[in-house]
Amino acid sequence: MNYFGHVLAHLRKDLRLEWRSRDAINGMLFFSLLVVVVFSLAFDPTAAMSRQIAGGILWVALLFAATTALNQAWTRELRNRVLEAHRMAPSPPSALFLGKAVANLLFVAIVEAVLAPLFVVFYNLHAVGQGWLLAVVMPLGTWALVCNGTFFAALGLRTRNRELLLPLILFPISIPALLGMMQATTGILTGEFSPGPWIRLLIGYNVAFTTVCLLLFETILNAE
Amino acid sequence: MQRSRIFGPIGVIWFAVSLAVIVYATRLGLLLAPTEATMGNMARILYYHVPHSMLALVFPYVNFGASLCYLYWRKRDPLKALTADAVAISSAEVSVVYGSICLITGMLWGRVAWGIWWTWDARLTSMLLLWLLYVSYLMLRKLSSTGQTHTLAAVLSVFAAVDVPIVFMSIRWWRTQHPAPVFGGGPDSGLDPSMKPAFGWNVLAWALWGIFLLALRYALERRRQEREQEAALEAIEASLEMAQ
Amino acid sequence: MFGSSLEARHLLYSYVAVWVIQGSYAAWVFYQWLRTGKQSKQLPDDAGDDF
Repeated sequence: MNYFGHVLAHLRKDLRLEWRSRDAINGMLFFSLLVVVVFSLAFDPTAAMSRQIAGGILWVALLFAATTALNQAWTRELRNRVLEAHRMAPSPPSALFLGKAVANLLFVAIVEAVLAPLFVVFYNLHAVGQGWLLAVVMPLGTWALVCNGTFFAALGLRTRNRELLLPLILFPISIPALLGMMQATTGILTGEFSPGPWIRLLIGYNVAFTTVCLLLFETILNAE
Repeated sequence: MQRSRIFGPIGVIWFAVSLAVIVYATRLGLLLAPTEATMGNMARILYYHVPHSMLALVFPYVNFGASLCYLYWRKRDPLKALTADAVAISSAEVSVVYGSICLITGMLWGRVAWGIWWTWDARLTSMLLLWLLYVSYLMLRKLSSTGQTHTLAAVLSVFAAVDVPIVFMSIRWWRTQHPAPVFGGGPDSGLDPSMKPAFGWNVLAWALWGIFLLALRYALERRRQEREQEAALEAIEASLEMAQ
Repeated sequence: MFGSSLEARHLLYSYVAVWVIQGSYAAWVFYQWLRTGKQSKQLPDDAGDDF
């Protein structure tokens, strides 16, 4: 099997397991909805102001939703010592990481597909700038969160307070990406400034950190 | 144990020298240097605020270098790897100390000079994010299980090092696109030549002190490592006794 | 010496803050260093008696 064969195998495994229980997706969907409602109560914006803040709120909601999914992303590998089996298997460890990261990307994307229309409804949004660019920004931003998040979730696998550690490590590292995705979304929605530099930042960030994650995953998988 | 015989006297001398230079430099900066024209006497805070900021940007590189050494030596030469790890955690803690002082003195200065505690300008925000990164490094150290700590922390240090330039760039773009009030002065706003000697002495003083702190923390970490090794040896010997 | 005593006080407070942070960190590390030294000298002899 070549490398992508391994990645696909891991991806299919995660998708199938998730489809059978649908824990993560249900949890994430409901959680995101709650976050949207709470933010709507916190800020009661007019149409013009809502365009300024919707970008930020959307990504904060997705950040929290993604964190809930990522927290349990690796726990199913701990049951029945599956992780030991992964370590001993001849497939490259980075393929395991990539498969799981892509699976998480798909889960968060499903949540986004539900959440974005909700945002449009709750905040009466319509994009003043180039709306189609959102289709570029959403995947880029989501991958930035999911890639590092999957890596750090694996990093914290045998730590105390595993669920606490993930946001503590993930959020500081992700701040440039968060800035990029929030600014790009705000730029697109308000049309007041160009989202171009921010999209370039997101691309650079994704390239840099995907490379680092792929190179270092084997180190942390065999950390003992 | 022979190491401490060499380090002991050097350590004490270095400590005394850095304290002496700090006293000298502080006196130069706070009392003797000419008063700044626009910002008055409160601007003297720059004599210790800026050196701390500069040093808070240097120690993270030490941490990165040490983490790389650790990852390289991990399988090849475990004893050297342990020393690299000790340097890594020492420099991370000293980075956080210097970063905290930079942020706190910056806030106090801003409060007095401009009436605001904080502004999200490029320099302050970048320093805050750097501080957050290294605090998260220390949290990982604290919360991870033994045996794995060194490797995981080294990996996180690599992530942080890759992130730092991206942080600086992105915050600068952000502030170019959305300008906001800037907390004045700093090294790039042209220091008057009459103030340069005092400034130079202060940078030297706090650099000497920072190296002293790094070495002291390194000594502590080495002692802790020795204790762990002794305890591990105890456990092995005890289990051998049991097996008989 | 200083034009405004408010400025002088704030300057002093922030310098004290610097030394509080630096000094307490240095003191903590030194104290831990002394404590670790004492403990490691006490370990060897009676550890095997538990079994």
